[in-house]
Amino acid sequence: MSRVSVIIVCAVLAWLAGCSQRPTTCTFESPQQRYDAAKTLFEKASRDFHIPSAQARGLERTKLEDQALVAYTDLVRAYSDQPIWAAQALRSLGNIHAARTNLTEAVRAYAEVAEKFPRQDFEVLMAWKSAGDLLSDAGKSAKGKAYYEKLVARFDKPDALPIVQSVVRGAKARLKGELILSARDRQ
Amino acid sequence: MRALQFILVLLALASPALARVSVVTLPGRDSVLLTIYNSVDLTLVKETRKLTFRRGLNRLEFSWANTLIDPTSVEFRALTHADQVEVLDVSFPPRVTNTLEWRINSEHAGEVQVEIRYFTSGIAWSADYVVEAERNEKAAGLAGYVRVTNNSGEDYDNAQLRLVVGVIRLVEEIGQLARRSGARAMTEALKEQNESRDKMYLAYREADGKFDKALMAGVELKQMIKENLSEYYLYTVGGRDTVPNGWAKRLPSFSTNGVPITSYYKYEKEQGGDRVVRYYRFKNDKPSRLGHEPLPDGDVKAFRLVSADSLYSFVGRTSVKYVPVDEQVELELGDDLEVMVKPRLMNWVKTDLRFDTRGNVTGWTTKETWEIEVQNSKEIDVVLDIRRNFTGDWTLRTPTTHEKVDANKVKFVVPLKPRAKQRFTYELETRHGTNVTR
Repeated sequence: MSRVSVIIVCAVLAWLAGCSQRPTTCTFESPQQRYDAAKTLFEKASRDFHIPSAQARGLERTKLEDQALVAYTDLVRAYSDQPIWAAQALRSLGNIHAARTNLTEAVRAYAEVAEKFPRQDFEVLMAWKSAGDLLSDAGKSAKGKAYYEKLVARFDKPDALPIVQSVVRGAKARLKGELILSARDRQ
Repeated sequence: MRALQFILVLLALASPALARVSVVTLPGRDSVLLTIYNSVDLTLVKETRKLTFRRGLNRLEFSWANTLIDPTSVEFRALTHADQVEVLDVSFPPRVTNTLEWRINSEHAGEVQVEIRYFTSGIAWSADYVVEAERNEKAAGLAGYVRVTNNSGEDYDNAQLRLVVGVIRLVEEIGQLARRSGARAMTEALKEQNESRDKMYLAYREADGKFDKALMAGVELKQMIKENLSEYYLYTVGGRDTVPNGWAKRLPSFSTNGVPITSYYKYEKEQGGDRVVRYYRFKNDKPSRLGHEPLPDGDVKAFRLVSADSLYSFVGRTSVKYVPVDEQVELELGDDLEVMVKPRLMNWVKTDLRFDTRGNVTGWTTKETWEIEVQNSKEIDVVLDIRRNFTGDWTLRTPTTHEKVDANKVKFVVPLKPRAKQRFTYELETRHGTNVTR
């Protein structure tokens, strides 16, 4: 193989390697490859940063949460065509903001789950319930009520799965003013 | 690493603002039952624990992070004091990922046995068998094993295993529907998959309820359940075993001695060239000391006793498809070089030529004389099944006993004594063109 051929092959390989790190610009990734890549990113963000952040304290916790925020944000941006993983990443963003008591950002992320990925039923259910609980526990029960109402309207069906029925039952109780717990109880 | 973590948070309800919070360490699972249904990569996990509730509101967390548990399938129910324990709410605590929290009101203060059940992917099972033929290949021992592979992300300690063999028609159809919908537009596919999944879970739970009822009614564990269009079979592996994540475990499922078998050797040039292939045949029925259950698909390894001190030689390996009760099993165990079949064309003539008015040949007959040499170099009797295929308008002449299998195939069954060699011949007449008579 001539020196020119070697250079061309290396250039192509380098381009391919670079492309794999910038999935939005790759036009040749199959749907399965994109699904797998999104799944890998989500699992890495969850396993390496988000889950350990729950156990960490102080600066270490902040650092891990920051890393998780970056990873989830990248995933949502690069893989919006992979709703299973992007919706989980978006809801996880809401969870991190909520854990940091950043109410506005948390609720925004939760709300975006239904706006961007309306077919992800269970993610929408969890996001709306989380938004409702977060707002209610923060004393903003009128805003929280809006999420509970949406949740009940969409998911209150007699043939729903048992877990969905339990979430709906809780949302209804919250709408009636029952089951209000203080933020301290949630620690 | 244990992926499921339970934290029981007890709130003695006075007023919410004054609620006392305490965290207790939960006891491990009392029992865990895995019902593994292979064809749709789905396992129903039912685990029971004894929890100590306070009167009032209790909180219980369940995490599915880094596992293949489907959170939409998670269910909680009290097995004792059921009328005093009620799930009021489910929420999703933001401080941890992929975790839910049940808020449970209990009128009972004290121990409550609860069941948590859910579906997970990543657990599979496969069957395999070992055949140990006696020296004369007239009978064999048959042992069945089940290999359970756990890649679900969760460890299961002291688990009882139920394997579903056969087809639960509704589950099967829904599983296929869910797989097919992958090719549809994304939004439609997701909708279909969600609906299919929900239906599949309901069907599966229904089937599981029937399993439970059958077991409670004292039905023998290894028993066929037949209903409507479904035919499935619940196979419960005896005892309990730990199946850690990332591991596979092989468990014994049954063992029977003295199963009558027929050993024979098949030769068919068009199927296997010059190979002589050994077969073991037996029936999955009561007279054969089997027939208690269908045999699931699986790999088979066959051995034969070769000396009085229990030395076995490897005979061959193959795989079997699902074998219903009372059906025959035929194991193709590969070549055997100690049994030989050599067909030789000894003579060939063309006769009975017919011509048209211009002298062109319009009809003719060929006569072939074949000699088949067979040899058994083994120290036991063997039975050879030799198949010959003929085409066209043919007639076979031979003093050797034979059987017509179909319009174009004849079978010679030749028993051979140990170290014996013999020959037989046949003449094949084939008519062509205007000589054809049928």
